[in-house]
Amino acid sequence: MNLTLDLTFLKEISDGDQDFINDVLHTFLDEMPKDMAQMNQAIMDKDIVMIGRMAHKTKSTLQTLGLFELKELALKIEQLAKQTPSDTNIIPLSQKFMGHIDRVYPNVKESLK
Amino acid sequence: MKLPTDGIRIFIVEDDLLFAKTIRYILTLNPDHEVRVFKTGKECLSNLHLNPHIVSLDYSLPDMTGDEVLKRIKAHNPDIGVIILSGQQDVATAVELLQKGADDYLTKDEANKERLFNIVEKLKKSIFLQKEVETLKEELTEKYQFSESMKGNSPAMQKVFKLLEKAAKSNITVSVTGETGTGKELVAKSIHYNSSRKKGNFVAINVSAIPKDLLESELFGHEKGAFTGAATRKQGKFELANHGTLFLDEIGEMELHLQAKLLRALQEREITRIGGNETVKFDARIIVATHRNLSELVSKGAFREDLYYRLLGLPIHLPPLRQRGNDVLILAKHFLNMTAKENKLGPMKLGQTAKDKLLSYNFPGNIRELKAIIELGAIMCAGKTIQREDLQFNSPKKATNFFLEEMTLREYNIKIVRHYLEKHDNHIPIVAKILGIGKTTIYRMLKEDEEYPQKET
Ligand SMILES: Nc1ncnc2c1ncn2[C@@H]1O[C@H](COP(=O)(O)OP(=O)(O)OP(=O)(O)O)[C@@H](O)[C@H]1O
Ligand SMILES: [Mg+2]
Repeated sequence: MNLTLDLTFLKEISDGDQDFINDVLHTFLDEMPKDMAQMNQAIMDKDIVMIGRMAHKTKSTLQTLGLFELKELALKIEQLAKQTPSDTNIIPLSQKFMGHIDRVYPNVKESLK
Repeated sequence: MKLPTDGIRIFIVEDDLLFAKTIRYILTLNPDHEVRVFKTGKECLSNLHLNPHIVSLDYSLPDMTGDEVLKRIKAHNPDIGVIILSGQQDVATAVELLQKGADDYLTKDEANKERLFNIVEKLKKSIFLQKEVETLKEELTEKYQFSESMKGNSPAMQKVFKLLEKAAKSNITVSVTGETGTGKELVAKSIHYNSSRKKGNFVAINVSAIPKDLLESELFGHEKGAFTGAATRKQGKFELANHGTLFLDEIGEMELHLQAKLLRALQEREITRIGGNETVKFDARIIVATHRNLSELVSKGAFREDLYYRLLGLPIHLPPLRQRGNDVLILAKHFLNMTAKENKLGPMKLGQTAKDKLLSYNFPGNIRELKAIIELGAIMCAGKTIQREDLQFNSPKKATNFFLEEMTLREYNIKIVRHYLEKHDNHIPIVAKILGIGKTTIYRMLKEDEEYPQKET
C-alpha cells in the first residue's frame, strides 16, 4: 500500500501556495482522528451502516491528498457495507484501513513546512 | 449579463472539511465569489436567508439526504443554482437529483479548477440571464397590468393610472379616497401586485368592520396572557405585512387613542405587541382608504392632524362612476364577459336599449352596483343580448320625493334636464339622446330657465 502523499493537485490549484497546503494538512490532522474514532466505535458496535458512512466520508480527503490506494480501500469498505452488510470481511478490512491511516499521519506532518 | 454588485454568494455543503476547504480555495480564486462552508444540511438550510446564488451540495450528508436538502433549497427559492457533488460511483444518484431540479453535478475526483469554474460560470450565466429575462418580462407586463384588473379609459381614470404607476414604483404611503364601490380596495391591491413588494403579503384590515376593542390586537398583535382570552401569542397585521403592503381600509373610523398608537408605529417603524416589552421592526408599505373627507374629520377633531399628514402621502382620488363617461359601458362589457364565462353562458352582449339605460343611470353604488346589475341582467336575459328590461336598478333613488314638490310642467322639465346634465358632465348631446329630445330643445330650455328664475325648493 502506497501511503505517500501526492500533493500535485493541491499545488496545482494553489500555484504552490504553502500556507494553503499547510492549512489543508492541519485540517487532516485535526479532523481525521475524529472520524477514525467514530469508525472505531462503529467497529465495536458492529454498526456496519456507520462504518460504511465513515469510509465514504474519508474518500474525498484521501483523493485530495493523493492517497489513491487508501481511497480505493475506503471505497471497497463503503460498497461492501452497502451491498453485503453481512459480509464478515468488513470489520477486519476496516481495522486494516485504520491502521493505514495511523501510518499516514507522520507523512502528513513531514509535508508541513 | 447583469451581475449583482455585491458578489456571488456560494454555499458549500460538505461534511468533509478538508475537501470543503479545497473547493472553497478554488472558488475564492475569483474575488467576486463569497463562499461559506456548512457541514450539515440543517446548517445550510438555516442560513438560506443569506440568499446564496449557488449551492454546491454533497449528496450524502450525515444528517439529511441530498434529496431532502435539494427540495428545501428549491422550495426556498427556485432560482438558487444547485450543483450536486458526488463520488464517481454515485453518479446515478446525482443524475436522479438532476431530474429533481438540481442544476448540474460534478464527481469529486473531477473537482479540479477548470471543472469547478466551468460549472460555476455556466450556472452564473443561466441564473442571471434568467433573472434579467424575468425582470424584463415584468417590466413589459407592468404597463398592462393596471388596465388588466382596472378597466376604464376616461380622462379621469387616465389620471388615476398615472398615479398608480408612480405609487407602484415607490414605497410611498398612499391614501385612496372615493365613494363606496369606486374601487379603493382594488387600487390598493393593484399597487401591491405591481410593486417590488409583490412577493410579500397584501394584508388588509377594515377598521370599521372590526369591533373597537379587538382592533388594537388585530393591528399590533398580543403576547400570551396579555388579556383574558389571549391564550397564545398572536402576530398583528403589521407583522404579517412585513415586506409587503398593509391596507388600512376605512381609516377615518379609527378611535383617537388608536390613532395615537398608529402614529407612533409609523414614526418609529416598529410596534410593540399588547402585553409585551419587545419592539418589533416592520417594513411594510402603508395604503389607507376612506370614503369620508378626512380633512373635515380633522377640523372636527375626530382625526389627528399629525396622523392625517403622515398618511396623506400620495393621494389618489377615485371619481364616482357617473363622472367616468363611457367607462360605464367598458366596465359593463367587462363584467358581462366575466359573468358569462363564469356561468358558462356563452358569449353575450349589451343591446342598444340596455346601453342607453346604463348611461342614463347615476350609480350611487358605483362600480360595485354596476357589477351586480350586470350579473343579475345576464341571468335574467332570455337570449344572448341584454336589453333594457333585463337591467334592474335597485338602489334607493334620491329623487323619491320628486312628485311631492308642487311644480309646473316647465319646472319639472328643467329639473329633469338639469339632473341629467349634472350626471353627464354637462354633455348636452348625451343628455339629448337619453331624453329623446333635440339638442336645441335643451339649449332653449336652459335659456328660458335663466330668464325665469327657478322656484326655490
Ligand atoms: N376600474 C375597475 N375595473 C374593474 N373592476 C372594478 C374597477 N373598480 C372597481 N371594480 C370592482 O368593483 C367592486 C368594488 O370595488 P372595491 O371593493 O375596490 O370598492 P371600494 O371603493 O373599496 O368600496 P367600499 O368603499 O364600499 O369599500 C370590486 O368587485 C372591484 O373589483
Ligand atoms: Mg372597500
